[in-house]
Amino acid sequence: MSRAERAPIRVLIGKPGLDGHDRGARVIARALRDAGMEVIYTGLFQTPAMIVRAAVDEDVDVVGLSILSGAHLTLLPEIVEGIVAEGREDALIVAGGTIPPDDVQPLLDAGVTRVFGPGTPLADIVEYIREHAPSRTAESV
Amino acid sequence: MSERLSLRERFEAGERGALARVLSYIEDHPDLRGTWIADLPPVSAMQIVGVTGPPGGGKSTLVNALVQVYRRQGKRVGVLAFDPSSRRTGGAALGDRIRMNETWSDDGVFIRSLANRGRLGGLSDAVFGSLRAFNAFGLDLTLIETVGVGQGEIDVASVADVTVLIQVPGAGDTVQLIKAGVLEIANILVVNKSDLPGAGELLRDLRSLVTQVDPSLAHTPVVAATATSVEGVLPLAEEIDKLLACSQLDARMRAEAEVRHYVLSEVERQLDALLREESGDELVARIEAGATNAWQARVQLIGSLRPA
Repeated sequence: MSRAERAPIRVLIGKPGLDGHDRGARVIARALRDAGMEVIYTGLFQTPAMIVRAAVDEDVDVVGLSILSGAHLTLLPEIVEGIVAEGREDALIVAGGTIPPDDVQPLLDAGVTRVFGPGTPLADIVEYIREHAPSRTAESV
Repeated sequence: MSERLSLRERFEAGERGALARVLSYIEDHPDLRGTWIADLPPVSAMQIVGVTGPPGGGKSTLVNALVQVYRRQGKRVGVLAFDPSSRRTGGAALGDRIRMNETWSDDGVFIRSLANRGRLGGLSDAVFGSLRAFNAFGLDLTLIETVGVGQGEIDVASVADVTVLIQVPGAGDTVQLIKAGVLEIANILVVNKSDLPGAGELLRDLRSLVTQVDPSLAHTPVVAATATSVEGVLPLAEEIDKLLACSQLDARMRAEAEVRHYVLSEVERQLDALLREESGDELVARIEAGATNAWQARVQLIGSLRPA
């Protein structure tokens, strides 16, 4: 049975680690909401394990991670590993924030699908997620 | 490893990822016909507590504190937290989890955020199936947090065994308390943020309402709460437990609520489609021009509904 045509894409916006700035995360959450997606926001100061738990329980299609603390090379691979370990390798994992260009490739190697730098137009992020969010049509019950 | 097991086997083995996927399936496919999910039995042992109240009244915070109370009692607890979908885009921002961080690592707690997906009334069509899934998964108690309600969103009362209505200080004078609507469906009235100015007055007003003014609310407990700590909700939890011990929602009532929900949802869906069609457009134009009126037009529209 195919997924209902109108079923919205579900996205978790997570703020891993110890930076207290979530304006970016909230702007993205709002933009995705306005694009017709259901956006779950975790709030600040989440550990990788908390984000993995939320992503699994909420059964999101997409995990968006906003990080400004500089700890992305430590925290993001841990989140990807956790999500895969829970059997959710189908989830699209994207990141944004202050991530230096040199760090992008290591993150992609770790399984982050895409890194959006500062200044990325919101429409680009919306379009990317729409195109790449996994579809559950193959899911059989 | 899990690839070889079916969703049903993983669900029956108690895998939370499988419960999560079943809940998505219920949300996305109102028509479950022919699937094992459609055959999940009605809620039996699981207790259901509804928490409703105005936006910003502290529903999520209160639910978070109650979850911890019930965990101390050794119960496995589910949470269904509703927020509104945009009527314009269908999108939603689901922010209730933000207040529910304390129990994130607890395997005995399962929190799920749901958008109402266009349903008025404070819940969504998925609430019934989700409750059956929680029940079948072996949860002992589920807390339902409605969308922030105004005065008329009362669906939760026909789903929950006990409905808790939050009121907060500073939200209007006693005239608000004599209006019909959401106050009538509460089994327990709670004044949250009871540390704020005006809380004592509101408690007093509510108590006089239930003891002297409104016979239909007689014996409705009125309690103060400060939901930012577990201790702050213990008096409320005590009242909830008292009611749970002696009253359970009639299974028949829940079944009626479910079918009513689905019928209205189907009618609304078809009506939306009809009004977008050319004939619907013309009909509305004729009402606007005074050639017919909406009361007459309703017959024509009802006649155009198709068997689902």
